Amino acid sequence: MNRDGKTMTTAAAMPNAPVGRQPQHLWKRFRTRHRDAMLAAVILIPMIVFWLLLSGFPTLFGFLLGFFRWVGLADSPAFIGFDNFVHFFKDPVYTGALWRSIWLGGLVTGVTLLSGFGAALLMNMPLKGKGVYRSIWYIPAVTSTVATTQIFNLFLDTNNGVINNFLKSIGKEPIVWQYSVGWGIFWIVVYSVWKGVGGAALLWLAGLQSVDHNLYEAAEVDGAGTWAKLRNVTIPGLKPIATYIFITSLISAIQIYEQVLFITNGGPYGKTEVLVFRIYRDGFWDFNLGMAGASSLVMAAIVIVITVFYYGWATRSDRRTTIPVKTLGRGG
Amino acid sequence: MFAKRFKPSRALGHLVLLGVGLVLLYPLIFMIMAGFFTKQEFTSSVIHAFPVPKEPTLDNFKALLAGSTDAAVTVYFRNSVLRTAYNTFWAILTSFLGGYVFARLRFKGRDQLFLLLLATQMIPTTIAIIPTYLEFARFPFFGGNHVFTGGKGILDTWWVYLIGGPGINIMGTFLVKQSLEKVPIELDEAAKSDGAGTFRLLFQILFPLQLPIMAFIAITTALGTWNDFITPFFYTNSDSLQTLPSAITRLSSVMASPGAVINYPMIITLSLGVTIPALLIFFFFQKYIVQGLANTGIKG
Amino acid sequence: MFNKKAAWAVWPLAAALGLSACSSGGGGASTSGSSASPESSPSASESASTGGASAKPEGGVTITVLNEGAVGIGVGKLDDLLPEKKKSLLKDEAQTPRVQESDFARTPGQKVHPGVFPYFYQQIINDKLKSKNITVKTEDWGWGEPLIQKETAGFLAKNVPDIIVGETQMPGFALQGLLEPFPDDMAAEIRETIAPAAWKPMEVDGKIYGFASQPGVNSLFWNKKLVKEAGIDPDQAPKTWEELLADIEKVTEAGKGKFYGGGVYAGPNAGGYLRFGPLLIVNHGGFTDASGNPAFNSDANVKTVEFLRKLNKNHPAGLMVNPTEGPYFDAFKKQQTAYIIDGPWRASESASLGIDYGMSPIPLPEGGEAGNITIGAAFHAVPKDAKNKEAAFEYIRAMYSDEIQTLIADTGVRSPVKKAIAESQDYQSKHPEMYLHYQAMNGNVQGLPTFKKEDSKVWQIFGDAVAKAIMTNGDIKSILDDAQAKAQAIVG
Repeated sequence: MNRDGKTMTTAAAMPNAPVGRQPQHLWKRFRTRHRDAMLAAVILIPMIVFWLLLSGFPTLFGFLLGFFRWVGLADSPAFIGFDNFVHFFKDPVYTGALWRSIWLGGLVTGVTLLSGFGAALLMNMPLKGKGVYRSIWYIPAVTSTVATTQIFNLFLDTNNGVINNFLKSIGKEPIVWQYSVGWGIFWIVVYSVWKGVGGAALLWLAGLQSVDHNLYEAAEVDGAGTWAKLRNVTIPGLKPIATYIFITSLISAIQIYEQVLFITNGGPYGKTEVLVFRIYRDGFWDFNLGMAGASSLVMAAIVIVITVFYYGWATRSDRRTTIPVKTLGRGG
Repeated sequence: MFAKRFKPSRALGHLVLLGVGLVLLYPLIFMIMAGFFTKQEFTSSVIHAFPVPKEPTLDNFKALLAGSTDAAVTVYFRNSVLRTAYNTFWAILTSFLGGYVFARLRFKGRDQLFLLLLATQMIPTTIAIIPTYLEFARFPFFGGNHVFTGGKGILDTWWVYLIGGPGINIMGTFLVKQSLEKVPIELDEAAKSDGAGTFRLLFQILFPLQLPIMAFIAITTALGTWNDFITPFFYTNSDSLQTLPSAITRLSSVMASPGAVINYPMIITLSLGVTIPALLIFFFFQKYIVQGLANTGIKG
Repeated sequence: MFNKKAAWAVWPLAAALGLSACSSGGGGASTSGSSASPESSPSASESASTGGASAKPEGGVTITVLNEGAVGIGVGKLDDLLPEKKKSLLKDEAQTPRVQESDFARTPGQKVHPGVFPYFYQQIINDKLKSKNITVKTEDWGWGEPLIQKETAGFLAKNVPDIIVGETQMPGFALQGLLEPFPDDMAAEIRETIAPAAWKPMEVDGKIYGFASQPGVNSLFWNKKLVKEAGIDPDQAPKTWEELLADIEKVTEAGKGKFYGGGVYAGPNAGGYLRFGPLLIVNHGGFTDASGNPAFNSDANVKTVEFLRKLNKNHPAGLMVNPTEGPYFDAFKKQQTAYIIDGPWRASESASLGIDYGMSPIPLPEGGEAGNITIGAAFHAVPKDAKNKEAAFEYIRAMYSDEIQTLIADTGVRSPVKKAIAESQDYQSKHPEMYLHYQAMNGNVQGLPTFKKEDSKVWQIFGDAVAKAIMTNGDIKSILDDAQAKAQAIVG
């Protein structure tokens, strides 16, 4: 363990190498490096093969269809290069759906995360029975979309719906939810928030509980009030988890379509269509697999850009915050 | 001043959490109440916000427990449980091992591979349904296939469910990776110098530390599998392979055929039947979840 | 070294999975393949070599048939299902009246308990096919959208049952060449002895591709109680559009917001097209021109849509074009609307809900001519990729056999389609209403057309245009012109 010269050059050549292991010989070091890779391969390869079988290959196949014209069951696919993509960006049906996916996703994310944050603050108080509250709030996330959207539709029925019956009973005009774009969007957002707020609250709660308690005590010594503590300790402490929650929520909100399918069905006049809903319709109703593939690729590109951007940012800040801790640990 | 303000704020907390909580629960309360209706009454009367049937019936709930006339509910239930247990088992195993690989092992291209896997997790899956069907139907050497053509492949067999389990669970891997990175590496080294092999290190030392995040992964996988109707509905036909959600999909779609009176109370009750076990799963795990997520201390 | 072994040890299950996946290929074949051909050998090598080929029966063949809600009795072999169904029917408390043991003894010509109808139906089918050494196994692929999706995927993978069912999607499958045309002798027999509503929508280029044993056409129904309250003779059917509109307006006025005149569902989906479509047809309009291209903006259609807009004022707000059809029928069931255009089942369903109803052919506009659209038809067809086409056609022959058609006549929920049975004196006197319905199935009856490209997108354009014309005060002609232009751009 005292061939310092060699260890030094290793560390210089590979700053990422595990310093703590201090390999003795070149060949041993070589084997050690291989052992990690081999172990990783043994573990990962079967898992990745199964993953490829179930979702990797089919998705890739679906994407490739984006470069083919394939309309109708009896048709056979013909390679057409980027024509589908050109059509995508020329046709207002697709660009409109894409744009709607983005802002509707943003809206759903914003409302869910804000209300979830409020709930998490309350759940973080030393209340009796907060476990029960947590469960109650999370229940909507557990239910199946098909079943609960049916219930929403019973509420929104123009003629016999629960809400319009109520409006009529207090002498107000019933509202035709189905022929108003604004209300359509409103109910899609309400449904999504209803389903998502409990999960968001749990994530925020986990974040709140991972904030260093010493900081609160220090703030109290400084005479900070509830609001000041929230602003100066809680929110800055939550910054890392906030980014994670925001990105993952946004990515799933951009892809919502089941609630659109079951609540508005894209109507009225296609004004609430979102891109994944369009993909679904192209794929199954019109059997236009080419456009469905092209739209999926566009969607995937957007989502992957967001992910890569996020991950790059995350690993940067990761190094900033966690590396010193690790070094400290190893030194001891 | 602080002490005085404390109590009202707690009362407010209770009030808001309970009040909004009840609003969130309302659709479920509605479902339970609707379950007491007969088909006739639900169809022919005006339904109020808190529907109370004139002639309450337990038939729908009985059908749920004892099996309705046409539906082998026990079989669907068994399939749902088996499938959920199988997928959850594999999700825990693959997440843990995957997390270990990406948190602890060092090899070329590790971060790039992880990023690639993470990115694929985020893309829309709707497009994959028809290609998956084709792949299953053309699965070589299965179901009378010569090499790539001929029979049914693995469609309508248990393989449809079995094949999905061992695939890598990428979000789980991500969470375990985050969580493991907070465990000091000295622990590994101490264990190794005590003579523990990788196997022991993994399952006797590291795994118990990860139980909270495992609970989170288990519950999300279990709920996802439990509620999934696309896989059983699309890739199987036999009654013996259906799960509760796919059976409900069939039931409600057959009832939607022209001229059939839609049995809303029955559909609603069956939906409750799907929801309640899922709720139990959640109650069982919920206290670990926050802890587990807090442990990951997702940096980001 | 130890580490590597250890990691491998984590994967025994996966390895076992992989290995058994290779070795048990035959096992998988014997279980899944058996549905199509039970006699094919269970051994791996043999089933691999014979699997794809059509089975050469020694002890008979098994055909797979998709279930349909109106006649389905469960999933599996009919032989096994029938006794089970009987048991469950006797136990079923939801049947009104409760099913008795005596309901299972049947002499043709006598009334049949509607709850037992599917049992008898499948019993007849099973007996007829068994005598030809054919075993029937049913599968349930759902109905409506989920069914269409599964059939689409099935066609792509050439993995389809011997008989598929469906409603509006079936003519499209025929048009795309995915179905097997009926043999010539069978087609000739059907043309001669069967009402057109049962097969005409499935006719492409002079060949018949599908058959429905108990289809419907649209009729006008009204709630006698509500009509009486408006001071209209409840037994007098409106004959013209003017009369209908006048009556409907009277009911709306009398209802004072409690109930409405109603009319017809016109939502942007197949449920709507099937019901307001007949109004386009009787007014010499329609969905397509002679060569099958969209013809949305004809003057006749503009007039019909104007009529629809007038009807809309006699509905609760938004109900007439509600995106899903359910609420529209709920309103009639809850006695909130008085008039409705729907298939024949509306009669028995109204009776079971205690609604005193009237039923008549669809009123005509000035200069109009009777016509209709087949509705609620479960078309059965044999896919090109079916494995036992001969046996499958035997199944369809059974569907128009005297026995099945008599059973439909006796049940009285729908009309039979076999001329000899429906036109008999006996049927006319026992089921006068259903006889009227049968007559409507004999005239100018069509199906919904399938457009040459992106069918559902073109329909959506038309449906949205009609909804827009009804819900807004915009110029109807220009709304339909716009839809026509968009549709032509797609179809080309």
